[in-house]
Amino acid sequence: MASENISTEQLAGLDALMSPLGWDLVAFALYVGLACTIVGSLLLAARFLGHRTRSPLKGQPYECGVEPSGPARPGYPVPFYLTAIFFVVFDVEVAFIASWAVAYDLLGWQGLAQIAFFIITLLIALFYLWRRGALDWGPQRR
Amino acid sequence: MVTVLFYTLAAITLATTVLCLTRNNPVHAVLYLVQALFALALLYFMLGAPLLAAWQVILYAGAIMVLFLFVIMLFEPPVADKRTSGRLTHWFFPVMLGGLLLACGGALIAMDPAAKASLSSYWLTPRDYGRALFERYALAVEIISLILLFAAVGAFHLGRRYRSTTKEDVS
Amino acid sequence: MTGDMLLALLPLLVLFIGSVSVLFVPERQALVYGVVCALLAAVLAWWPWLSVASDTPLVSSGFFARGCLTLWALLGAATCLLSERYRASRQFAAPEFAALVLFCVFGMSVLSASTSLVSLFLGLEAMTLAFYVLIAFDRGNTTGAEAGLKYLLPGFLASALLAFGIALVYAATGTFVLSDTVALTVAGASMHTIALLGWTLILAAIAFKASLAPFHLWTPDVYQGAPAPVAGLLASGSKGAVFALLLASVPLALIAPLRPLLAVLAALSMIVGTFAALPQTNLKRMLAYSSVVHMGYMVLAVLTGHQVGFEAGMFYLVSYGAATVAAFGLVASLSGPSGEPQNYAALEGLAARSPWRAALLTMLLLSLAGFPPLAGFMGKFVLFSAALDAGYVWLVVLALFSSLVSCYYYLRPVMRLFRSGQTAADHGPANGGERLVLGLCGIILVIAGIYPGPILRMIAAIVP
Repeated sequence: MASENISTEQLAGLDALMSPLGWDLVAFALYVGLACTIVGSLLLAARFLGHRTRSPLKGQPYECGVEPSGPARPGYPVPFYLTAIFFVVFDVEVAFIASWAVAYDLLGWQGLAQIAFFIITLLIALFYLWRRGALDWGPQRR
Repeated sequence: MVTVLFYTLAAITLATTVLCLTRNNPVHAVLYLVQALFALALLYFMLGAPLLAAWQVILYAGAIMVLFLFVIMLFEPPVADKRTSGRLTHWFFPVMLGGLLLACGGALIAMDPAAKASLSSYWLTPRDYGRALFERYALAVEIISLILLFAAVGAFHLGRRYRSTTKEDVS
Repeated sequence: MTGDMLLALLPLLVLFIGSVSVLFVPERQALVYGVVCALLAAVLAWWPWLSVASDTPLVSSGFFARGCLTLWALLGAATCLLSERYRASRQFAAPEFAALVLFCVFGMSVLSASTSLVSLFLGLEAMTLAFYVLIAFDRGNTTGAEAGLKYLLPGFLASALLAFGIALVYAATGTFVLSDTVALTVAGASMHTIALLGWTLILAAIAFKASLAPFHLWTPDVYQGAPAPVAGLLASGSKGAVFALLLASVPLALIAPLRPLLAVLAALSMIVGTFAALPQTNLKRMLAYSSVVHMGYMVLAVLTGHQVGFEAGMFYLVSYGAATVAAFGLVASLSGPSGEPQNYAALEGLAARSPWRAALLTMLLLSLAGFPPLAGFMGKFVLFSAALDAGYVWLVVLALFSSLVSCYYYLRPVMRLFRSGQTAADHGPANGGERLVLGLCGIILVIAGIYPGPILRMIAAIVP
């Protein structure tokens, strides 16, 4: 009788610890650990397996054999910045679309019309940028 | 316990913001700002707004900080100071604050795996959020779409190159 | 959102669609298209079958909102008309310019019609975003880029103050609805101090946008660098929209602790603006400081806190707006490929070269100074008497003093106009659009000065 009691208590304790959510957490922790291990071991493997020589000459940036004539990290050109701004604009769009998507069934057709209006407005923005050549890369046309 | 976490996170937010404002190296400042934004996201989560916390991380810490870094890189990128980069004082604050932040996040998950308890009396689920946004503030969403469109148009107009320009504009 | 609401918001929708579609209109027709869209929105606001005011969310569709929308749409159309010749010698991409002007009008309309703190913020941001780009629109002009930056940084600060203020007001009152927030603050909400702090921050942000001293520091540089038509829209429209909001939906004067703050803002604006305008030798900078003074007068209308004062404020806004748009429009119409005639020296001999424009400029400046029988005099008369009724004697005395001194700085450029000058003109005759806008502004100034009855009655009918 006593042993049975203890065993059920133990079971209950284990159950509380390893409730379905608890198992989820363990799985999550395992996943995180696995990801970190893989990335870390790949990096470490490169470090240990690779052949390494250290000399000041090697530390210099390579410019076709010519002596370096300026800083190795110049300022980025403006087109990168434009791309970054467009990225932010359309990233913010995602926030609204996802907010609609989580409640799409509650919002019904009206919600669909609203998000469609929103998306079409931003599609027009994309179309404008495309037509004006904002997305062209490399030497300018025209 | 939740209160302790709240005040810890609030202190981290304040500390990282002050550090962000006082750094000479703009890249360091931006990284402190990212930490502040993460701490804020955790605070939002604790106050019962999980979707807002997610947007905080995705939009602010993700996208807008990228923009900040781009702007810094447009100008002369800051050169790391070789003399101090190895020192402990150089690493101590960011690592400590980051570690504290991580510990707070971990504690929050461990304490409350179901993400149900919050400091406020109301837990705003993503569904409620989406519903309120599109039912009560639908007009605001459409206005924002126009603002976003013109943000892109304006940035393009000010940032693009013109062929027939004076010398300053080329380069 | 029902069909009724969509119909009530139709003027806004026209501005929305117009501003997006004008981006795809060819370069030569874009400005005309923009004018047509703005006028269409203005007409639709008064279309008979829209006359039933519907209960729209976030923005009101009442008569006051429509009246303001009409005003801003007309200002937008005037800006497009005034830029037609101005842009020819500059790097102006007409589709983008027209689109941004329409977007700016949209933002101003949302701002002045907002019934919620959310739409207030969005309207103000939309308007400000348009101005960030419009001010720096001329890519060949480095002063313009500098002006854009100088508007951008205070603009960010103002946005941050506004957002923080809104958050505090929301925390204290628990609602975004403007009338409720004001009423709850007046009634003494549970967190009264927090609410007051929030309103103070909102007031500071508004003072930035309306360039009230001590938040006016950006004004002269931005006016000087911005393209003249844009500066006209900035001086009349953006400030007008902010004050329309204060007069119609945010009666800040009802919150007693804010009254001293408003009075200090008004007094400082009058004093600082007047004394800073005295030594100016640049027309646009002088107009910038004079706008600081005029916005100080407008605060008097907000302070009165009752219907008569609000009507006087709207009337003053109309007379000030017409004079300002025409003044910057004249600068635009007198500018050639070599630049704008900003310095008083460049205005010398204008009376001989183009007598009509010289006469109009004289009239505008006299109206701004408040000479009878022009609109500026009538506006000051109704405004100051309303403020006297509300019991702000010392502020009215200060205002009278500052308008007395203002004669000096308004008459200085007028004297130069009639002096024989050596500077050769590099501007052509005014084109049709410029003549239309300038002539209309002149007519409004004369009519509102001599026979203000109809305009005052129209304003009385729409002010809530």
